[in-house]
Amino acid sequence: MYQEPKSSGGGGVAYNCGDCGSEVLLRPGDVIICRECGYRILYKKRTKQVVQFEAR
Amino acid sequence: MIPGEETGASVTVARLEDETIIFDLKGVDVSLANALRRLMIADVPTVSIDLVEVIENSSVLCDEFLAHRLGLIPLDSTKASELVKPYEYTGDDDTATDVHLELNVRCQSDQTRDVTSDDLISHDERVKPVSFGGTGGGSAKSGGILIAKLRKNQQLSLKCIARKGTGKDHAKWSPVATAVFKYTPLIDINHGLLNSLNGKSQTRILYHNFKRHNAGPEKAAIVESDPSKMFKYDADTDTFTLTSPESCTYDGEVMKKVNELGKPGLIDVRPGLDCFTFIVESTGVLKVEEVVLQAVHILQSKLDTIGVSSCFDKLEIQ
Repeated sequence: MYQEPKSSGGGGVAYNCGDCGSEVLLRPGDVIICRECGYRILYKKRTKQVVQFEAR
Repeated sequence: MIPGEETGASVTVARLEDETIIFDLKGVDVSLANALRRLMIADVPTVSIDLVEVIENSSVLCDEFLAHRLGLIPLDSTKASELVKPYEYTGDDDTATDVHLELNVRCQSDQTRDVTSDDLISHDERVKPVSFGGTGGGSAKSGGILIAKLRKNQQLSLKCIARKGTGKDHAKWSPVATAVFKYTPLIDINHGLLNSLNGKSQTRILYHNFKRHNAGPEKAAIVESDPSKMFKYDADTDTFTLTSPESCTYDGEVMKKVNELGKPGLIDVRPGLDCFTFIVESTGVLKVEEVVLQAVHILQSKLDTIGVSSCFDKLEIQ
């Protein structure tokens, strides 16, 4: 099975802040909040895998 | 039994331009003419992008949206005859079915970067996006087809796989933009009745004696009554001529006018039942005459499989 690459070895999953765009590392149980600006909407990063689509 | 089978069909090309052909097909049934039209739309094979691998897409457009746009780009399809459709091929050699194209663009400047079909890099010289020279003096600009727009530091990196297919599978594989036919009109002008009409000289009398503003020359009135503009009237020489029968729309307005003038039968417009005028425009992926000829060959091979001979066996092209 393919696994999403974990950023900085066991440091949790990296997200982008919806406001300032900075990277936020979250581990299970963490409060969902940006450490730079306090914004509470974080976005999952795009996969690094190549994705294939039918052109129709 | 197909009417015209004994005599054979004939084709007369009226006009042939870069991407348009107008021809008359005589001596066949409507069903056959319609079959030919449908074959041109849905059965003539072409090449277009079928799979898109997205490596990097930081544009505002989602992957699916870009893939769909890429699929609709017309690609030069002269190589289609050498390729095999993926679902008809059982071997392991990908080059028999696939042609690879790449799109790698990154916007470096502060200005918006247009990504067009000209940015597509083909691995095969013969399969490349159709170049559009612009309409002469028209509104359409020359240049590639717009795929996406990028802002600074946005990037697109895609691998496309183009494959052979037909229009019945998806409209992106259809080689034609327009493929229509209509009955070729039979237009009779009764010259005896025509000469009894008021031309220029007698109209002067009408002008002075009766309706100063309404009574025009009757021949000119017939020309004006026709919304499909098939006739011309030259007042100087008093000649009434049929100039463009191909623009006939069977609106019946001329016949109404003629009846109104009290001369029924002066002009008769009716469809010729075994003659069809075809107007076919290619999208540019194949030469338009190639589309028509391939459609005829496909029809013949389809009829061969069910064991029927067609009037196209003895087709004459003028």
